Amino acid sequence: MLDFKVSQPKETRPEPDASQVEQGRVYDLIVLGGGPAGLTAGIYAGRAALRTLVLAGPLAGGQVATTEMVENMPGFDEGIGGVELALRFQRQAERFGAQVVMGAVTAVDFSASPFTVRTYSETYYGRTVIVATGAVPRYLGVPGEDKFIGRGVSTCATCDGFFYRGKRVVVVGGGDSALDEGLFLTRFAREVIVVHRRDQLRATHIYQERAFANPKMRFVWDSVVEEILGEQVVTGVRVRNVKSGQTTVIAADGVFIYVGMKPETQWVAGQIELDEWGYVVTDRRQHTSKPGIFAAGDVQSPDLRQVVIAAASGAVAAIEADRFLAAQAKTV
Amino acid sequence: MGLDFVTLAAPVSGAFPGTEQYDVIVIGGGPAGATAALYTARAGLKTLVLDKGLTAGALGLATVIVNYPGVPGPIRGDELVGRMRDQAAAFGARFVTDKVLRADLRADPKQVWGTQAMYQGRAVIIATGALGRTHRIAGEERLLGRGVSYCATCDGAFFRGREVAVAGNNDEAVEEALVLARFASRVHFLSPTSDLRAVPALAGELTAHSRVTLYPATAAREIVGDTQVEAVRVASPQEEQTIPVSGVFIYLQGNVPVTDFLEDQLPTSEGGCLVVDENFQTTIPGVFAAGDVLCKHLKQIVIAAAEGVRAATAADRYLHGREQLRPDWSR
Repeated sequence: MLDFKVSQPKETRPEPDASQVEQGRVYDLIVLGGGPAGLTAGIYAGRAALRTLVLAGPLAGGQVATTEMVENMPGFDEGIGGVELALRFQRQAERFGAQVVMGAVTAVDFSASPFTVRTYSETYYGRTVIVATGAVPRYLGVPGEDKFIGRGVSTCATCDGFFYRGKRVVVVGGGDSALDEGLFLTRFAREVIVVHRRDQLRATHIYQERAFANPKMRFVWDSVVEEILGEQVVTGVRVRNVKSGQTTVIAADGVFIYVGMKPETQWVAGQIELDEWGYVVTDRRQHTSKPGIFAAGDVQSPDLRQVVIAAASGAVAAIEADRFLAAQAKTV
Repeated sequence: MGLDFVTLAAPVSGAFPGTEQYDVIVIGGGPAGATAALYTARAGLKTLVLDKGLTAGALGLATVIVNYPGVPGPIRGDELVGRMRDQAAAFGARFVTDKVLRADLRADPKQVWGTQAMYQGRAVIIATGALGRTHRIAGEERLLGRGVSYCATCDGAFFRGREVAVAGNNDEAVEEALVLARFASRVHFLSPTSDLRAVPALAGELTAHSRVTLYPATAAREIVGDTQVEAVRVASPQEEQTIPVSGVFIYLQGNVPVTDFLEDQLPTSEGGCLVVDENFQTTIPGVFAAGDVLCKHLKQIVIAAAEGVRAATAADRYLHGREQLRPDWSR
């Protein structure tokens, strides 16, 4: 299984040109992104004996690697650190023969097969591509934020809300996701303080109604977070009222930030269909608008953002890529 | 399942000490069910998982897994599922080994009858898998409730001092045979395979039992009797024979979705799979389904688990009146 020659029976596929093959850079599958979706695609593709390259990008492991403890990846009954989980995904993919490379994509060309993927130093060719570049939550960019990401500063209440039983948390943002996750947090936290930069919420009416009716929720209007406070653990936030200029400190054990997500699709824009917010459009089997190009993980499914869901979509994408290659081999 | 509730209900109904109330009842404790329970329990919902036993599902004993992400393996299927269950239990999900016989999904709260109790839940997640049978044994349906049964715990006491047959080879079949051996004068255990697919301790207990006769690689061909079971005709590679018995207990597995306990309350597609919308909700509000009980193109553990998350999330939204809400991650 580790030997790439296993995939030789499929050599009837169109070859790009002899020199590229010699350089060993035509892959059956190139996976863009090294988070749970991309690496699980690597596991499945490697196991299917596809010659597979995973371009893990600058942030190896994806978002999960920024999480201190993952408690809800099924099968890890004692929890697992985010970095450790990402490393295990990677080792498993490599064990099945996928090549995992830390490289940032600088350009792609999906107009002709084999598809082209460029990094700063290399050009790779793939008969199929899985886009699993993820989405990054937007952060505030204020002092104290970086050092607490994944351990006091979170962008996922489903993931981390459980850690705040009986505690006091701040939610930053005023959209649907801020209120949805804020309402979720009221089940655990004793108080949820929503800090919003305007004097009214942007969230849909029904969220507002529920949030205002919830006795655990409190609102701090016209205010922006200037600093996340704490030495070893988060102790609070310093906020500034944008109208009065006054600053106050709000004591809190955790900060949940919902100021938007940004899908990493700048490199594929214009080559496959994206929705109005920049997420890749896929069908239920992870096919994009372009035959041979698939997408998996948060880059195409922004709603739940769970490791196991990203991993499952990566598995589906890899199986579909394998089927695509098999069908192509038959028609050539 | 077409169970005979005349025989069933009489001894059992009075025995319910009190019904147990839950936010979510998950039926089936495989990857989809255990993961759904992990998510609902962790979201603070009072969660019950009803399952026939750790090795009753498709991941049973023999399966070895290497492609579950994050668990390089090889790991045994029951061990991986065991970990998922421990994880859900650590967040407060309660696991009860019981076989679901019937459910009333339109009731409020929804009602689920097992062999030991009746359970009530505000939402139900069906994750019963796809080891249901396609074919019945000749005479099985006709003599159901007249000696044919699927539940030794329910009906075993009726066979005190009589001879019975058990068809099956998994943990459930062995456990039920051991229950029957307490009442019956002889248990003829008909295993479709030459070896038992049960955990060694159970298999050992069965083999050593003085009132159990083991028939390896033996198929039940026909259940014989006019108004009551009188015998079972069996075939092994060597011979065919008719064994006189007054009861036949069937625990055979097949490969169709397990939906018989629903008694047509939910529509199924061709192939017998439950039908759900994009949120994994069935046609009855508050009833969700995930895993192999659905028709889908890929049977993979990680995919079943992911469906469990989606069903759990949808159940949570249903219970909190948030089902019409959609967060806008994009803005």
